[in-house]
Amino acid sequence: MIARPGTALASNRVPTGIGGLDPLIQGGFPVGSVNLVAGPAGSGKSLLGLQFAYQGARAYDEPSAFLALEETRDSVERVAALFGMDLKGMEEAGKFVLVDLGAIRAGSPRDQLTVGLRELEDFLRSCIASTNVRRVVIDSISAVGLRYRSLAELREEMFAFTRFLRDAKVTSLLVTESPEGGRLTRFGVEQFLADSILHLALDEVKGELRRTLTVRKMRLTRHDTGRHPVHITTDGIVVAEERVL
Amino acid sequence: MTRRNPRKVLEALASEHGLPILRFLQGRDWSLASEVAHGLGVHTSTASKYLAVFHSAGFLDREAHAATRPTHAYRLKSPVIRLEFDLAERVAPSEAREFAFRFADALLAASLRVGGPRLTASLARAAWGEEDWRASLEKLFAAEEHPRAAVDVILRGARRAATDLLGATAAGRLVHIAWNVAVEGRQELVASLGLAEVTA
Repeated sequence: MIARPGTALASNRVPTGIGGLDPLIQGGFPVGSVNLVAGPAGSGKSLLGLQFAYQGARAYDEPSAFLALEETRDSVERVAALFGMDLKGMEEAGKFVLVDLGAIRAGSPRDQLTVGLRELEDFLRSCIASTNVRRVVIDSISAVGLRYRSLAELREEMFAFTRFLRDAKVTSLLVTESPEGGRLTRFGVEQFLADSILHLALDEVKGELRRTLTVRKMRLTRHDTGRHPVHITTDGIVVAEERVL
Repeated sequence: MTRRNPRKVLEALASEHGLPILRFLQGRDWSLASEVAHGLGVHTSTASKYLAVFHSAGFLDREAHAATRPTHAYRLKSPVIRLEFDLAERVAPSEAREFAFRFADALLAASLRVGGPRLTASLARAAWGEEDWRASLEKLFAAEEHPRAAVDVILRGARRAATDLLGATAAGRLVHIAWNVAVEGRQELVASLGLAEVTA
């Protein structure tokens, strides 16, 4: 069952509002789940995250927060405007929070120029309390990983962070970069801590780059396992129903 | 306790009549200037002048006394006299005001980059009571007797509000950005005001 925009949500699913995606995942992400969207540069993962947050605020009355760690507010706003998303209107209505946490790096000691997971948690704790957001997108979690000296430390911190997100009862989407060479995630630990993984890929077909999406895992969900073409339209990302053979 | 015109109080204390007048009042209830003058063998106008200075310094209580002419009775607040001078009073209010405005401006500019107009408006309102932060700051300076106290209220309000909205770590970084902007080229003023970055 897929919730239509403007209708009450099914009790245990959070519709993404992304064309063609919700039918693949039983109507949306599980409520309060931590979801990962992985893909190489240019695959559309930031746009997917932005749509998830924006549609939550616009169509499903779920206040959303989009935390940009690598892009400025201005850059995110310009991308959103290209796809008809009125971020300013949603912000003024108190339904959308766009934060460029990278902008506070100027106030950091030299050895802390990246934002850490505890800092993100600290920020989100205040943000959730003051704005009652139900959806959180972090773009990207790869930028946060650079803060840690070892994978063991990163894994431990990420475990604590994902537990915080679940306890906070927000449905989150963490954007992560897939590096060249076929690895799914940059640090190799992110996928083990998320409840779901959406994998966006860029394939070269007859000299053209084609985007695809695969639902690699989703807990508590009988999800589609096929590889689906992804189109970037004037309305944003749309996942095609057919499968790539 | 004295904050303003310390020289006047120090001169009164150092003069031949200063301490004798205070000692005369010790252990007594309300006394008129004429009684002090009579007890110490000085002119009433001299006693009256000293009593007024010591009252303004905070050493004495004063109450109106029913008499043919308007007059006052005095008594010691405490047998122990304490002197405190706020050296920040050397700083002109306009300099402290400029520092505070510069800090607030930098803080809100940084918050605009981080969270846009909505966060900035919330921060100004939570920190200083109104979205029109310039008006708020003007009111704070008008309400506080000492410029340093007004600056202190402004810095602490900013830190508290930023922490509520952004969490302690991000708030610390934001305040640090604003502090650096405000302090640049004003180290002497900051030292004179005895200010330090609010870190908690």
